[in-house]
Amino acid sequence: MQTVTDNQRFPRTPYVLLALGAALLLFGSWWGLFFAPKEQYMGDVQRIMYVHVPTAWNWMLAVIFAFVSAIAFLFTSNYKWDSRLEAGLEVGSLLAFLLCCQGSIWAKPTWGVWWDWDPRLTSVAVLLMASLGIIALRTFVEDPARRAIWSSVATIIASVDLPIVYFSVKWWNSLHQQQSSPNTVSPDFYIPLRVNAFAILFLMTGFIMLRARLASRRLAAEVTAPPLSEAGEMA
Amino acid sequence: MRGVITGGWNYVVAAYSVTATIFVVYAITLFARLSSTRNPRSES
Amino acid sequence: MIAALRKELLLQWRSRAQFFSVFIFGATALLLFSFGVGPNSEVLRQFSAGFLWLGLLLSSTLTLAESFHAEMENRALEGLLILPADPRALYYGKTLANWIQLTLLGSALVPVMVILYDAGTTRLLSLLAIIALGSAGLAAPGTLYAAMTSQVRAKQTLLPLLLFPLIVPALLASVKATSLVILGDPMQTLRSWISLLAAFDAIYWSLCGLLYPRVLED
Repeated sequence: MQTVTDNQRFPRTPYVLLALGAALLLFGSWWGLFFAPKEQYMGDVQRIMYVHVPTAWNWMLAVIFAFVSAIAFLFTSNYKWDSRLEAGLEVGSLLAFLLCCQGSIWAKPTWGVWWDWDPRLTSVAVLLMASLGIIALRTFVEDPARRAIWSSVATIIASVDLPIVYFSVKWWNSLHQQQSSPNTVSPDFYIPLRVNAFAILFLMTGFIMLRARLASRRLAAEVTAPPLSEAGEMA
Repeated sequence: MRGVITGGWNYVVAAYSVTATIFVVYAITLFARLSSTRNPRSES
Repeated sequence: MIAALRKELLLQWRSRAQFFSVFIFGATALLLFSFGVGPNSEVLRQFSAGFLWLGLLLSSTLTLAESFHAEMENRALEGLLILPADPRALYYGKTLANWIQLTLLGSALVPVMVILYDAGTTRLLSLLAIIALGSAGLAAPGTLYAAMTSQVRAKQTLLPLLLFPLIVPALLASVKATSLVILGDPMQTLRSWISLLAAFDAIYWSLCGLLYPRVLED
């Protein structure tokens, strides 16, 4: 097993990112809440979009990050990618859960119900379940090598599934009436959206870096597993 | 959805509060878990 | 691979009593669904496709877990690693066997569905095709995850936990297609749902086969 590093090259970066992200989020939210103009049809409820859309963008980045980490681990067998995968899964689940909360809160006043099979929200919910399942898998596998390989495989399968889920739900849903969905926004509203997008990006990156650090430390504390390259010879 | 939705600030406040709360709580759990690994390793 | 398939089918034939009990489990599930909804025959007929597929899905957790049970009992998985057999052949052999079993199970549940929910149809060939395609979508990822979870402590809960979110598209498409066959297809959308299902199957049969050898690594 390659040396598990503690990511000491950038010890303070995550904290800087978190602080910056928090500050930007406060600023962007203030702008979106009080400064941006009222939207034509949805009134003030539209302001939820200033956190919802950035959260969605960053969630997708987290999914891509987890997918890339999984592939990288399978190719390199370097455990830093496993730590990153663990971080990506957890932070991604967090964002997905947040997305579902925000989406439901938006849905109640606009559609009248908490949930309505909007393809995006439904896909997020499915992926959330999938990633929680993979996290659960990780807790039950004791051997670090096996745990890493299996969660990489499962993550790849789940990530490939995401677009398929999205299209099938969209198709399935299209048979019913068209719901107004959280839509793309006109230029008037760009500033709070972009500020919050970067805010959550910084927060997410900081979280992932710290969580990966945690994963590396825990891994290093475990009994060392034999190197993956010597498949037949277990110590 | 036709027409204008008036009010609804409760929902807006709820959404922003949930967002902030989740981020803050997660940060706290992360810091707590990290510090427990930095000190004489506790069984967590 | 034919050898692997033949071995799997032989194993399954030997444990055909088990198939019967899984069938009973599935039929009971279908019965319970009707109690969950109440004696409204119109509503039951509307949802019959959903119930059929949910029943099959639940039963699949039993059959899929079983498919690696024999290996686990005799620790034969490691033995198979030493043989020069291609692990992919092993995977496809097992998946094919599981697929056949699930298709048979699904078909066996059709008469139960017809009786309980008054959900008959004359388009039996289409129905069979849908059951075959949907079962294929369950079998491929199911066999892969069964291989993983069979070696782990909490296998009963982990298999469905991992599998169910993944097969949502297959489930959606199968239920929709079955429903169209039973209730009528005024807008001729059946073909698109079947294509979706076929595409899903193609992607998953290749992807899972590709990844399977890594799962066996130690």
